[in-house]
Amino acid sequence: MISVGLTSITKLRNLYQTVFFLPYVTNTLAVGLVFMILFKKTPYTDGLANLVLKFFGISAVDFIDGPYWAKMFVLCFYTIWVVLPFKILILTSALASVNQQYYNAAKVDGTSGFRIFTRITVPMISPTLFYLIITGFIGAFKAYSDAVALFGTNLNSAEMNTIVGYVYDMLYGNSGGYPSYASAAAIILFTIVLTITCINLLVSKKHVHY
Amino acid sequence: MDSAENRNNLENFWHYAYNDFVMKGRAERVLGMEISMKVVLEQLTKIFPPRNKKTGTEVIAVNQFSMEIPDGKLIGLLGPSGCGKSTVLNLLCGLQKPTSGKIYFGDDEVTGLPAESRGVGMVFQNYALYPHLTVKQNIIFPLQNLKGEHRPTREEMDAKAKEVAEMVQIDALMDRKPSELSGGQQQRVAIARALVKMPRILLMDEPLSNLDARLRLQTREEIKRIQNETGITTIFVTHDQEEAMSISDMILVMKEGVLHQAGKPQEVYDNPKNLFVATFLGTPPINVFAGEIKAGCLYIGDENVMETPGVTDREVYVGVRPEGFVLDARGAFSCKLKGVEVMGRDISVISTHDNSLNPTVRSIISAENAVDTAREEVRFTLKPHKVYLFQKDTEERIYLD
Repeated sequence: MISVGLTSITKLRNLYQTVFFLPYVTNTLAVGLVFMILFKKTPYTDGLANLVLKFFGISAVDFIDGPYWAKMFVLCFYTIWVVLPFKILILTSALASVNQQYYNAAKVDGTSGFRIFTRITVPMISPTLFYLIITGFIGAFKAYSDAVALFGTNLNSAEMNTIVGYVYDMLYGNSGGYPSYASAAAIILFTIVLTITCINLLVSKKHVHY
Repeated sequence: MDSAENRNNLENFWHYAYNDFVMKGRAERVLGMEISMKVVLEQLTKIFPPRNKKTGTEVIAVNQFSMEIPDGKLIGLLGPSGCGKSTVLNLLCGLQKPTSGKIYFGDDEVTGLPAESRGVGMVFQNYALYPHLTVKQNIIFPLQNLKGEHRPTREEMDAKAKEVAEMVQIDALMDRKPSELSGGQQQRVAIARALVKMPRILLMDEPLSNLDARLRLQTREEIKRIQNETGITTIFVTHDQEEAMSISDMILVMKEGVLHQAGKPQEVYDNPKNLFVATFLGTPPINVFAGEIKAGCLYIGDENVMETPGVTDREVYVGVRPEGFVLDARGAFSCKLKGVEVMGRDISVISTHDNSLNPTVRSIISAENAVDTAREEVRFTLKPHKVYLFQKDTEERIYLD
């Protein structure tokens, strides 16, 4: 969606592209720490995010050590922020490779903007979309460093552990020394990713047009 | 709001046209009714701004193009590449807006209307068939765009798609994807897709350029037949003059955005208005010589080749069609013989002449004449009605009395 928006902007296009691409070139851990500072509530300050919330008359929440939904929200927000630019870059180039004549033909036939998007644009870039969905799913299950950057290494106590985090804990963490548990978890992770990829492949047979 | 009213009228028009279609059922009858109309272009101009604001110059793609295109005819828009033909087509279908000038379809002005409310069908150069949809889905795509009460039911869409497909003879291929079709079949699908919404005007951009020579001949007959059957005013763009001459009811010859001549193909060929039209039409091309009018006679070099009554003395360009030469041992016009190409039905004699603007002079004569290739010189008499004189500076035609 953002890519379509970006391609339709002609002025300052390069600037916007740079802004959107910025997260991709910055270090994940560093940015995670910055996010933590933005969202954390300390005795001295409420953090930037809470200041903004206060401005709209909402009481402050500690996003880092607070309730589960707040922490989940920060994690999601952060992941989207980190992952988006790469997807936008790929999609923008996919969109650029669609022959303009299809859009001209659709225009002459009086196709509405929404229909052009669903019936032409999406099918035309479907191979790219499919690639991004698969890598996205796999990436989500492998998530670890994002959580560490935000909540510190002790993910269990933060109730924000991921599968990869569990594998790490079982091997080296405070509760470490159980390689068998770690291996089991790794295999389970593998199975889950494999299953989801297979489902994706099955679904894609119907919807992806090469 | 003028344009809103126009649009409303157009929608009503479509509604009635569509109802008519459902009642009568047969595409031929409906497509044959008076939905096509004449097209009038008034002082149409399109200027593209320079790409680089400081150094670039603007491009005048179409310059003061005025033309009335009659109803229900097949029109060939002809010109060398880059002459603005496709721009005219884009202006007609509404993909581009003219810088100035007006376009009328029948009595309605459509200059400001967007592409979708003009009721034009367009066949693109590379067909622009949606690769992920089947032939049938491609054909009904324009119908699915209709909204509200104008939107036909699924059965009606299918029936309509079937009729159009039968007309262009692709009804056996309805479930294939475009990638599984040959070039000619893709072309037919593109035509079917343009026809299915019953356009007032059908536009084709280089419809034959992606086909091989044999298919091209076949398809151009096909286009002529479809146009005859439907009676829709059809305008097609081409740089191939043979293609345009063979099937058009009327050709428009363009160069550098300017309309040079319009008329029936044979009339334009026999009576070119200027040197450009004369050289552009005809294969093999016309032979051009530098000549001079002296005392009512035309001289090419030192030879007095024909009488030119009513033309005052001046320097001229002389155009002679290849079929305008008659082999004659005592003929007034001599060339240095270079070779002979035998083509069965006729022979082309290739020679050179010092005053010729082309490297060789090509003349076509009947195969019954024997040419002695051992001779160095070949002599011709010129057929006066195949010889055209042009002003040296303006390149405009000089007419004889």
